[in-house]
Amino acid sequence: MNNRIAELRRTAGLTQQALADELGVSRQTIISLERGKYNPSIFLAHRIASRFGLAIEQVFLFEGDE
Amino acid sequence: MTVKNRVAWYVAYVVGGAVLFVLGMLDVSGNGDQYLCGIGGGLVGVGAIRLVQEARRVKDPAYAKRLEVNASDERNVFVAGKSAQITFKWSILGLAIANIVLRPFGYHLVANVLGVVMCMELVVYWVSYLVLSRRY
Repeated sequence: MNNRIAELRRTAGLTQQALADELGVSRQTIISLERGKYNPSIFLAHRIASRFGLAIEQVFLFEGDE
Repeated sequence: MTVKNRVAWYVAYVVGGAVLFVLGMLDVSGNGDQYLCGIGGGLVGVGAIRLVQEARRVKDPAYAKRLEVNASDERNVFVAGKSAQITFKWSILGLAIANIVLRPFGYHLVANVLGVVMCMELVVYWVSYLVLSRRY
């Protein structure tokens, strides 16, 4: 699933480690999320969206039948 | 698990491992194999490393936090679960193939043991599936 995490993180001036620390996950998780290799749980998706003050669908881009 | 419980477990690994190692050296089975020494040595090693890790965890809060995050990180948990799934699939396949291939060569006892192990794995899987189906 595509997402805007990398774009939002850079706009907020955060490093991957800093965002990982805020969300309570590992830096590797942030890397995998940004590359679209890992889809987060609904809880993590909600925490990420809340961190950037957006709705989940504004961060994660659902495309067609996924 | 609390620090005290973890330390108790790791001390048990070291003590248990040392006992097995000594029993292996004394050759209690009488057939000369060093299997007990290997298991005992492994347990002592794992227990010792875990105790060192635990001491560092108590002294270094940043390290403790990193360990905690890595243990509970959802991607790590997902990858571990996926790895277990793949291992189960291939172990069942390997056991089934070995069971069939060994028989023509006369290794009936080994084939039977592997067959029992395979059946036990499948039973555990089915029971787990039933229990989890009711829970979720």
